[in-house]
Amino acid sequence: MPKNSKAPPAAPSAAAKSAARNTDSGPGRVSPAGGDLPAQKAAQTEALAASMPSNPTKAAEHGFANGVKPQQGASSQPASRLPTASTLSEANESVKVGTTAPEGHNATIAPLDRVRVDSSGRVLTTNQGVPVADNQNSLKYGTRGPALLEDFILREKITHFDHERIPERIVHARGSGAHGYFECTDPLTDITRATPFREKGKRTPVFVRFSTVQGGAASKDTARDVRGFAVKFYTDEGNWDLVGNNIPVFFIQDAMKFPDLVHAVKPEPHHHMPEAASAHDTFWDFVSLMPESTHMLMWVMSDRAIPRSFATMQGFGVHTFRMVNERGESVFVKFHWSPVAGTHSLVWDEAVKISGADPDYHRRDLWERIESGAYPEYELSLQVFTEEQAEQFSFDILDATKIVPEELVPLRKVGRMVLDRNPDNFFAETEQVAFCAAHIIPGIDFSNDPLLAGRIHSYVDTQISRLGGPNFHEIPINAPVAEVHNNQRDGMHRQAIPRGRVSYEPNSLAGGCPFQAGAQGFVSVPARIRAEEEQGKVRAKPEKFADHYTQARLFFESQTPVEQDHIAAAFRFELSKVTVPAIRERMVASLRNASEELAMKVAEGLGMELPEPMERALPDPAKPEVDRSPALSLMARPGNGSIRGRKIALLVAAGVEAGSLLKVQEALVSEGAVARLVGPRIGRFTAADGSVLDADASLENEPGFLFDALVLPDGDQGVAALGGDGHTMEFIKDQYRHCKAILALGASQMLLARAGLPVALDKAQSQGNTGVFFADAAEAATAAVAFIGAVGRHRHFGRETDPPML
Amino acid sequence: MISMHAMDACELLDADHVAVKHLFVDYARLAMAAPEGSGAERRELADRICRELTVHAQIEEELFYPALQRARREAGGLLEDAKREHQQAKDLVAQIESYGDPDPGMDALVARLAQLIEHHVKEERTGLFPMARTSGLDLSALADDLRARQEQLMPAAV
Repeated sequence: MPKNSKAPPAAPSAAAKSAARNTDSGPGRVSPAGGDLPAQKAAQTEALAASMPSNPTKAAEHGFANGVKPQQGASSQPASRLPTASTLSEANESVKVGTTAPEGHNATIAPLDRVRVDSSGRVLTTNQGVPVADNQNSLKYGTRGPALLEDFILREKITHFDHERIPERIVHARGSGAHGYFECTDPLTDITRATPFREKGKRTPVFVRFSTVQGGAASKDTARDVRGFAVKFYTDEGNWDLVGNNIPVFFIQDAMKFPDLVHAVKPEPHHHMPEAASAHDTFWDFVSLMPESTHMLMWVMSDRAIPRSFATMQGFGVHTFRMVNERGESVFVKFHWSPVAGTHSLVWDEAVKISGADPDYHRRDLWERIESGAYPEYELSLQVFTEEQAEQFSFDILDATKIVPEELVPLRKVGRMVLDRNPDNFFAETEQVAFCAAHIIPGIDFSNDPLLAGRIHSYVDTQISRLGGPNFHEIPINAPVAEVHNNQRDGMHRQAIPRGRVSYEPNSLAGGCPFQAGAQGFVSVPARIRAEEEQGKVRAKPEKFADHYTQARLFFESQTPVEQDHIAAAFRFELSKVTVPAIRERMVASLRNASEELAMKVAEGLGMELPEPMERALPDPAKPEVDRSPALSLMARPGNGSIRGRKIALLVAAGVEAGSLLKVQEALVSEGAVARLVGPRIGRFTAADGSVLDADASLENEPGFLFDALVLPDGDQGVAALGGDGHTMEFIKDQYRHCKAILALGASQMLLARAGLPVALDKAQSQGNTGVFFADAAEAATAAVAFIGAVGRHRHFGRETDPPML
Repeated sequence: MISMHAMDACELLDADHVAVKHLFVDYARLAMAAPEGSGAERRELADRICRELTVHAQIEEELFYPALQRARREAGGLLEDAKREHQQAKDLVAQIESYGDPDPGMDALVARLAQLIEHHVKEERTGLFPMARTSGLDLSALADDLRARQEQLMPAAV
């Protein structure tokens, strides 16, 4: 902008100087008064204000056409830094105030280094930085005398301690986080201007938080539950939070029911039980009266609700979103994260046992994978479809209880996400991170999904009480890497120090800054609402939302028989925990509408008669496009077969044959697995050849079900010692029951027989693919190769029977 | 490698169950993970499943069920159920055997057969076997008969 060159006639210098030194009134004309700074500031401020005689974009605030093509706000350049400063005295520096604010920059977006703390070589201080001379004793009047009120050091320490906790999240309280990056592999510029998808190879930093939903912050990881899969993209156009789950559908269709759902699934309010479980009356009472939950129930009763690792589960954006390109054209999209390691889950018996021995199972797994360089990696793909296509679908794409089958709209690969850095501090990062469904960026927009609408409100709202005020965006983990400039001000825990006196727009005193970005900023898609009938304000759902069972059936029918058995067993377990038979019967009555076969199995497992099918809200739903979708089976994504990050137990005791065991260990470790020596106790054991094996885990402290596979050693004396330990038998039994790979070297065959491996395995064993291997110690190296292959296949469900034979 | 003692009749029959379950699992795994590239392998597995089940049903119907019926009259109802399930299985086996190259339609048939057998096996394990084990039947002699008949039938079925 041109500077105002028409200088006012010079006033007497002393008067101008004097006038410029007041903050409460001013002269008729402003004069720069030579080199006097206050006068100069006053003159430049006057010029800056005068450069904007009116608000030039006012007219463009009106009319639909202007609304969809907003103009950039007006701004003008001050003659110097003077007019936009808060104070002339900013020129005075110190180690505390630093220098002056660099122009056009918000320093709170600097990398986390700005707040990292390392105390190496430092003395202990108070929070005020005062060195603490004695951190052992409170201040007392005499060694046996009373403590003194003036002990500010003790009081600060205790007071801070007293306030260490913040409220846990109402849902998704239990979570584990990691840093990483998203890398675009296939740019999406044809459908979106979103910055992470602009160029091949472009990397965007991310922070991901995985979570369970029901349990509290300290509850077990392996509960049967949905897993949160929330990704914060720190893009150069602001933070984008893709707050998804490991399941692509949800229990309800409208946010109006969200508090009801959560109240029903949470521990019951009178006695606060059960923690981290949905197997109780109020949950099943609610969902059996909400048949739209049936599809989600199928997923939650499937093994997807008990993943082996966060690195072996899918993630989904759940809702339909929009993508918008540079020309303002929009399409609908669904987001899919697919793990490179494949989709692998636990089995229920295993999940229950793990929750006792290692409630931090998933958190530990994520931490250890990253720590050891076996970085979790996921592919991001999209389903892309137009509004016209969506209108033809047999289901409504605004309904969060429906998927778009991949057979109908195939996945389009976009990029990959790698999680390669653990947080430095759980509280500062994983606990204080605030994901909000409302956080989107230019190029991405919402659909009218009524559940999404509620989420757009709810996440921001809940952070305000959880994180203590409206400035949670300034908590380092939440701060964007993009410049943040607006006129939101003050509030509790404010960290930014805005320079200048302007906190409103339009303004001329700050040269109009920060000004609205216009079309370069976020512009909502001017979506028109298409409907056959005229619409008005209404509380009702579209008709297709009433089809509650078609996709529940699709999911069940798309599973392999073993997966179907697990779903039936999960329903059986959960409903068996319900104390009111009428609720159980109502649920089975509802299931009959999804799958007779499933309902029959569940009824049989509960020892009850099959009830009449529940009346359906939509007796005659539209014929679905597909009736089978293999992509819905966990078996469809075996992954790359790698055993990286897998934990394998090699049992040791005094007198085992070391050579063959170490050979197998070496082979496993070279494939990236963690192969631990596990003994009757930890520590050193003398092997048969006199060498020493040092066990880093014991049968007692790391029970068998915590491992992905088991190797039993050769060596008569060692095997005899293991055989005399009841833990060994439990170890083997669980490994067998959970269908994991077992390699028995030489003499340890006897341990399998002793543990009670069913003789009926014999025929299958000669047939192959049982995942149970017997090998002489001399063949350890070859046996290891076959064993590694079997570990890569994850589970050997041919062994599974219901009830278990072992 | 595992049999530390000779199997009795129930264990022998159960060995068939466990073995064929492995084949079903292998089949499903291939059908899901490699639907395009595993046609020949799936056809072979399906044929093997059908062969195994045919012989298995036959030796049960010829030897095990009658022996149990003689020893425990109250087994009648369960045995009727079992035979009805055998018939359903045979129908599916016939459809699978005459099916051409594996495709999702055949995968669905094999899955249905797997579910049917899973149910049937569970009934045998939890209903018939405990009855047989407490019936006074010489299950080890019966095992010999079953094995002999199985060996007789198996090559013919191949």
